[in-house]
Amino acid sequence: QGSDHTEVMLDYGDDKLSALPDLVLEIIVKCLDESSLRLVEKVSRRMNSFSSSERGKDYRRADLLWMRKEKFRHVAELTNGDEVLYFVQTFGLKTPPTSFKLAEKKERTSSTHAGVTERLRNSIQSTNV
Amino acid sequence: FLFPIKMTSPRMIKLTSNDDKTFEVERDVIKQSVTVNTLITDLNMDDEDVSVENQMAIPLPNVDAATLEMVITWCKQHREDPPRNEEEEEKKEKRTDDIPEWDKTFLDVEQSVLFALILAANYMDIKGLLDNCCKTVANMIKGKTPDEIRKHFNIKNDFTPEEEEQIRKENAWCED
Repeated sequence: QGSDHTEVMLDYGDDKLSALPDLVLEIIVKCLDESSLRLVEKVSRRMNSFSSSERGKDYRRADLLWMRKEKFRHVAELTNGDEVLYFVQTFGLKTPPTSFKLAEKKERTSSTHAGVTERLRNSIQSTNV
Repeated sequence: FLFPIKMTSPRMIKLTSNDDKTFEVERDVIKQSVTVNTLITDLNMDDEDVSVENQMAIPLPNVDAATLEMVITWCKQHREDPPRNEEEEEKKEKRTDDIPEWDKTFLDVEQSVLFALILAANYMDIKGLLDNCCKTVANMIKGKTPDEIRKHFNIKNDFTPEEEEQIRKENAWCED
């Protein structure tokens, strides 16, 4: 993936970080860990759009964080842990971060996990999570 | 018997900054810039018959002399680096604790200089330099609160109170 050399510099005054081209900001954000991304999300709109999309891209990292939460352990145990976020949102168990793109996740999982969804639905209904 | 040894001097390339300063740099050093490398190839500048005096200088309208000098210094330092496998680099999770010591010292500069270097590395397409600059900025961000990040980089908080509340709500699920 090459850099965008034609991108026009945005005028952010003394704020040189926000004035960086999109592709450069993406590289910086990719260097951040989960907790730093979460903090950068709160800095400004421009920083938010990069940090939240980077966080949303990394499903496994987000899923693992969710799995650490006691209340989702049951759901995590029922799935292979990879689909926790998808199921949590599907069943409306708790408000997930908006950075998580449900549409993308659905696209990734719906074709292969229809059976798992059904089994999970039954399990959740019976155990009343 | 003594045989004359043909001394071949390294091929030189001329680069001109946006403030009209011209630098001569070894072809082998500047090959790390994909932009310059492509230009050299496209313009047939590798022709051995053209002396450096008669050679056209490559204009770099987005880079000033001070920054270009730093870029050349970095390229000289990294001329022996193995070629990067961009596909592999793309797959790898980016770390920020692997910046070489020389680069750490080299990039320990004022913010304005660092950002000028980032823009030059991006424009000249020097991925190693761009990566290490970005890692340096990421290290400046790490461990700071949102307010500290704003202060450090002069970032204006442009969220409306409603947006701030929304972000707070979205993050509430993971805050103990």
